[in-house]
Amino acid sequence: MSRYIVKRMLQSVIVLLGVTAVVFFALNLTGDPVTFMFPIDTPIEVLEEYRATSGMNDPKLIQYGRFLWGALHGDFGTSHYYNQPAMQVVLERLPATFLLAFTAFLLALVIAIPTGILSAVKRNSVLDSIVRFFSMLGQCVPIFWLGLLLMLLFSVKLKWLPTIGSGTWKHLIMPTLTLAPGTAASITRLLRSGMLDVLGQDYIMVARAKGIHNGPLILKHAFKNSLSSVLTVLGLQLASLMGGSLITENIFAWPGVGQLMYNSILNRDFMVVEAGVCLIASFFVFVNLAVDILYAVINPRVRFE
Amino acid sequence: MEKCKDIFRSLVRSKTGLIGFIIIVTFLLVALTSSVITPYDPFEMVLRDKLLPPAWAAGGASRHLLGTDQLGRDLLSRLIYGSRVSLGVALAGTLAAATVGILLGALAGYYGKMVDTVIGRIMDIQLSFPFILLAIFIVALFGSGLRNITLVAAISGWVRFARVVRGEIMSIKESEYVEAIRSLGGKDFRIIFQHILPNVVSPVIVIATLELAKVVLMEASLSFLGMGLPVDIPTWGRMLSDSRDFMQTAPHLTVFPGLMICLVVLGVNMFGDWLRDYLDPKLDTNQ
Repeated sequence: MSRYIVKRMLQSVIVLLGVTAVVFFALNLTGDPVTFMFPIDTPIEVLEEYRATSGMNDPKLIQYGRFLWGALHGDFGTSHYYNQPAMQVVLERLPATFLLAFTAFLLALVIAIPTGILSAVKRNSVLDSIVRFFSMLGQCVPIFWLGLLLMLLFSVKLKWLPTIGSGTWKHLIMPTLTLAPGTAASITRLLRSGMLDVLGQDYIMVARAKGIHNGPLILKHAFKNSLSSVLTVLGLQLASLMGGSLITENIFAWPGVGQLMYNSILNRDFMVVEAGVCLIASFFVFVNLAVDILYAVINPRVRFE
Repeated sequence: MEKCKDIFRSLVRSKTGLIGFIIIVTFLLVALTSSVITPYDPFEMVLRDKLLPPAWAAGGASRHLLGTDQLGRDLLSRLIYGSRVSLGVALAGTLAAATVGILLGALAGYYGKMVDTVIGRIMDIQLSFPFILLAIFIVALFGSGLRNITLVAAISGWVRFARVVRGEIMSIKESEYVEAIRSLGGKDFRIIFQHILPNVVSPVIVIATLELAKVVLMEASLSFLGMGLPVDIPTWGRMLSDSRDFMQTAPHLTVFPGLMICLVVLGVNMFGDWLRDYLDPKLDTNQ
């Protein structure tokens, strides 16, 4: 077990190194990164001076080493737009994004677990068809459209909720309702097929033959075992939620990392973009690492592969 | 001929597959004939007719079935023209993703060891970016436009192809017929392309179909964020984005473009699910 964990952690470190390399070299591939770090109308002398003082004329590999060293210490340089350390700017926005992503994630689970179980147990019933239709739909509706439709309904027509902004619980409702359905749909589909797999196993038939009631049979014997198929995807789902929050935050002016990334790209504030991309990517890597380790705990077969 | 009948029968039996198929065919026909069937020039502005509601709503004019936008351009014509853009990007993006994915997947699966490890790590790195973040990062650095959108599609989609192709090839390369070709002196290149790759055609077709839907969504998202194709090209995502300023007065501008995206993605996914059940039921397409 510990060998597996160490191996998996080493892999994560390599992936993180790769992420920083991609971020660093992508920025350098475009030509002169210094032009990205300052507003477009900056005089050339300022650029030249910055280049000389910050070691931009050194070989790229040395620059990458320096970037990596800084990144390890959470130092991504100073944002020229906010005039603050780039990492600090990103960290200030993180709680808002976490709030939104986790609320949506919870809502998705609350919807998906009962519907997934029910539609597998009542396979081919009317209920099952309805659940399948909606989970299909949930994966197809673009979240930016869903967000706008909710806005049309709740803000423009009914005037129940504020259109954009943040601060009260009312502001959280529409962004959550925008983000959750896609995730709920994926988890429902997975859980349904996982449950169907398990319900077809011999041991379920044995349990049934022993006279175990439907309720405990489904929850204790079937649901628990089908969880492993869902678990592996939960990490990816959280990932897509963070990605989705980028668009959702943009629609509802939610002051999170997504909106910050978007604005920083428009402002050419690339220090913040680098910090944000690295932070979000490492968040994923850790979530996936946690999921994989958890999976190995639940399913011992994985450890020996 | 028998085979065609068999496919057709299976398609009709699966109602969702048939509906998806009909949606795709309609979409294709509309996109291909868009220059002929648009009732108006999608770029023509008639400011006198701006923000007209759909024909059936109060104040609507029968000459503009779905109403007009903020510059008096016919919405139906713009939606039809948008289908062409959407289809073009989807095809180009999927093709690019498939090419990269199949190639790298084949290399990883066939050579194993170091090659496999390196390609595997690249996949992990790629998967640790939320794709929309990756997309706007690329677009921000390299600029927007069709070429870069295709690049984004290739970068965000290739892993799905590579994974499947790698798995299939790993199981095939040990088989006796490959061993036979190798002992007859067949070169690696020839073995991979002529003898092994034809075996992965069906999973690749399934993945490609589902990928089409993803690229349509991606292009719409980027256009919505103002990072897609140039401003003067009518795309569904851009139309949605523009509609935000007119929600109070012209909700139809928000409803219809989104409906189009939704319908196309739904159709492609429904058809793709049937295709998977028909060609390769064991294929895992959940990720």
